[in-house]
Amino acid sequence: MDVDLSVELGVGTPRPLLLRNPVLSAAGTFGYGVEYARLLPLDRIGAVVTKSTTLRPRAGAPMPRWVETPSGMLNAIGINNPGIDRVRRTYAPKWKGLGAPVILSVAGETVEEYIEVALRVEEAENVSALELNISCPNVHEGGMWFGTDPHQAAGVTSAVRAVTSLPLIVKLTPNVADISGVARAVEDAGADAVSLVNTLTGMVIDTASRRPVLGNRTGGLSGPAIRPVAVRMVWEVAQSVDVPVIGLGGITRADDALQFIMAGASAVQVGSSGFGRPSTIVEVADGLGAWCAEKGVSSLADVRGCVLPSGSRCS
Amino acid sequence: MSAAELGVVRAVEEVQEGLYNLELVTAPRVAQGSAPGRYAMVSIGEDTDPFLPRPLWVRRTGDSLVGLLVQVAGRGTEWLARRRPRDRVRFYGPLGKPLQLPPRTQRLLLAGDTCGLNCLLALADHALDGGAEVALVLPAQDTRLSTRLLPPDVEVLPGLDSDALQWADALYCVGSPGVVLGAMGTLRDSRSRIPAYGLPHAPIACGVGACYGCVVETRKGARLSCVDGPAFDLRELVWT
Repeated sequence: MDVDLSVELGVGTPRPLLLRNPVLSAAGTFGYGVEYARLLPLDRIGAVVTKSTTLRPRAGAPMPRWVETPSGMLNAIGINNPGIDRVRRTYAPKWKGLGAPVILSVAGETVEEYIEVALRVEEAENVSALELNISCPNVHEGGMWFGTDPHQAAGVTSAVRAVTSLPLIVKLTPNVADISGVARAVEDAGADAVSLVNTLTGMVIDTASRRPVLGNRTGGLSGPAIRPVAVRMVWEVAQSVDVPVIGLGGITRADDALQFIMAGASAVQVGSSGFGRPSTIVEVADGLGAWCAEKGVSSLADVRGCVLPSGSRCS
Repeated sequence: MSAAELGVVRAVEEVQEGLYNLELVTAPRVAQGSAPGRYAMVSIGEDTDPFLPRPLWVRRTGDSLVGLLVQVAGRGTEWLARRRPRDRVRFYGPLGKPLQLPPRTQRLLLAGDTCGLNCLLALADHALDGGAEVALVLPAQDTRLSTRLLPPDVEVLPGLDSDALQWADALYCVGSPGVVLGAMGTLRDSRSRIPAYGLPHAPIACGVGACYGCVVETRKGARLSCVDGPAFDLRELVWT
């Protein structure tokens, strides 16, 4: 049977983005896409979400920047990136032949920085959408601060909405009491989709040296260890907003992705699981198609949100 | 290079306590790509715990053979050390820039510890093939390593000093940060002017320059060990 896995983001906006399937890379785990171009058939994934990029180059956090944890990892990279101008010069020309559309993740310390970087992306070539990182736990100014307060989250979202014609995804932090409140605030402020979850703040202590392992002391936890938390949060947010929800957190195979879709996600992102097995993202995309074919499901819309309470917004 | 390579274990040998030499039968492209300085990201088990691959130096030992040297330091390396002939090991690579010996290297001085040994052995193979003499400096506890591991023509020295530097016309130091730091100091004090390179062990998570987790500081700025290295000018490394 024919299976249609396509997903559209930014429906009704000037530049809607049709994805061939709902499997994207997660920001910060896939570089700028070109790093994996020789390694993977990127024409079999939905989109590349880049490393978060700021207005100016950022040196990032002190080493060590990551440590392995049970079924996961704790990282504090600190948004080390070359800055938007160099990204435009170095990577953007290569995105044309990448095989997958590119969603640029952007971050900033002030609303003005988010606006300026969004303006420069607006003029950039080969960028198909923006993902606002308002949820990085590893920077001291801006970052997660924007994402923990609904008013701040709405403020930065509406400011960027005003200057971009691209589909706008806002990435949410799980380090809040009420993630649905933040999701509703950014939806009202003009977000075309929300992605969740970013990493959970954590700490690992080296008992021999009696110090935190990470140079930044705390970091963000990712990997299969956080998957049930992420699925629960997607399930909550999907009941609260009308815009598409993009789910992520510890996806290692198609069945994990299906959990997010059944919780209400329209698309998923694959992150740190790709470090152990770079082909994970392609296998998840292929696996979703195979699952649909095997179960006689012509579209993932048939099962999307199937565990949501009846009458909820996404069901 | 492929995103998913398989190696079949041909032999496992404990060459000294806690140090295992795994010989893998691989696709010819893996062995051919296994130049000195290159590494593979080796998966541990089939489950998600341990979660991350281990970066291991690869040493070409035949047309379809590579050697991995595994120093047991935790659950991941212990899992690798327990592999038996015909077991499969999943990895991707080889990765990293191949090392290029300085032109006309006649007396190559290598230094390091078991953490960098497989890279040093690959370098020794390469230099001996080119007709150079090779001396290898190892910490005292490692100098009795199985002679089956070390090429017979390699002289093993107990310490890096100014005499060794005076003899050599190039130096490579590969190993844990402390060993590379020590070599930096010896080199500086000796005022030797030979080409010298350090390959400090960096925590590599992705291997392709995507995660920015393996930063090495140099006088020219921060570099990623996985794609900009693994070798850096020993005089330009900065310890923070």
